[in-house]
Amino acid sequence: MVKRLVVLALVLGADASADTQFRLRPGMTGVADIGTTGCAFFNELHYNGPTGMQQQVLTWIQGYLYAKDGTTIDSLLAGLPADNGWNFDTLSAVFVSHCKANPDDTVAVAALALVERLLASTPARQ
Amino acid sequence: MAPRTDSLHRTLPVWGACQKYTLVFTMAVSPPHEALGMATSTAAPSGRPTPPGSTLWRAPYVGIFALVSMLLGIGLAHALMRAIEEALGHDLTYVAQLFIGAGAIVWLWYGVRSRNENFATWTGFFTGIVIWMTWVELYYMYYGRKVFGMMPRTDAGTVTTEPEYLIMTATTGVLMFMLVFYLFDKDTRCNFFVWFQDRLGLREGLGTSTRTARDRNYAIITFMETIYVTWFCYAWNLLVFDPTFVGYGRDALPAEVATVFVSIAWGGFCLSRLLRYRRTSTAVRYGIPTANILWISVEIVSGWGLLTEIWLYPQKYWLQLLGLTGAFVLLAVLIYTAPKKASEIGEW
Repeated sequence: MVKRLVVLALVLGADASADTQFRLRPGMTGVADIGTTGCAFFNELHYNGPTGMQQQVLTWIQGYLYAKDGTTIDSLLAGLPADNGWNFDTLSAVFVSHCKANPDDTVAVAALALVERLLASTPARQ
Repeated sequence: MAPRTDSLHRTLPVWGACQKYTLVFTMAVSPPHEALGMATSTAAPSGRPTPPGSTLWRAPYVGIFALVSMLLGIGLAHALMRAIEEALGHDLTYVAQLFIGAGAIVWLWYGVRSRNENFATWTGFFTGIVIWMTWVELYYMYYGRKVFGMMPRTDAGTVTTEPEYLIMTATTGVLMFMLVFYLFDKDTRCNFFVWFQDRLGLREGLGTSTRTARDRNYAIITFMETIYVTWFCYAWNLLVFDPTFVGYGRDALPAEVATVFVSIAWGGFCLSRLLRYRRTSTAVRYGIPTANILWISVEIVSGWGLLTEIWLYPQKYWLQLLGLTGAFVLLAVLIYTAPKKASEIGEW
């Protein structure tokens, strides 16, 4: 009897876990994984909330860089001249325009386009 | 009050022009009534037509015209806002909305100074809509999308609520406490609040209204009515679309179905009353809540995919919207120039 209950619990548990996916708290905004979001959907999101979406992707890039080799956007920019032209809007424009031009890409690909531009423009990395 | 009207004519050339155009419209619209075999309106001593002789401008037609024009007005206001947004782009729209709203307040100033209930009512309605679109919705849009950096709410790969509406949902509490003023105001004439005042036993405590119909300023009354009714219906709609309360997808269906039921039942009740109206100005004012309450069903049903909200895509459906705009303008002009009782045009 106990065995049957254990098996039943395992089956139900497995079934429940198969259906479980990470979702934001009901009512919250945004998407759970911006990196895997398609550019076509990102374009729609960006139209409806440009500043917030740009911040989301830049935050994703910060996490990506730090996980990769412990750097951050700020540390990359620190190696450039003061009038390097990079700011919130110009940084965002790279992945925003990439997604507009390539709606079939993921946001991660668009974000990496910015990372490559940043790395290429940093003297220490050239 | 008559001397005030006279001084208005002296001080406000634009208002004088409005009166002149009203007369021109009346003359232009009158012949079709006769051509349709309808009785011509009888002339009042002042030379103005009066409603009793008209077979068109009587119940239930007045109510029907008022409702249809208000429904068209709501849809077209959506389209206008979206068209401005698409034409100017977000950043320019944020600047333009300040001036468009200011222009509406100037127009409202003319309406508030007028003793003509007909002009004041339409002024209040139009300026209320414009202020809602500009100083409310676009201002929320500016802060939500641009300054605060909010993201739209999404579900299953689609945008379900834009940032401005997320902010608006948070104003529900502000709306509710502001409505308390109307609930406890003895001069409130809104049937909804009067019904509550009676049920709450407030009639004796509040005392009789100190204002008569002549004392009322219909421009600001209609302006505030348009704003509050729109705000209330938005809040209601947004709460039904809020997954925090109703859940996602099929979980939200019971709340949505209940909302459609209440909307149609309540709106239908209002419509049954509206169909008895004979004064066009009163019908327009009563048509505002009636149309807005019924419109809640339109939003929900559109969310179910049963309707295409063409007013949200002015570029794609420009021809259809042009036709609807023409219908709205014609209907508004007809109602505006319809035979009026003396009290509706400031002649008491």
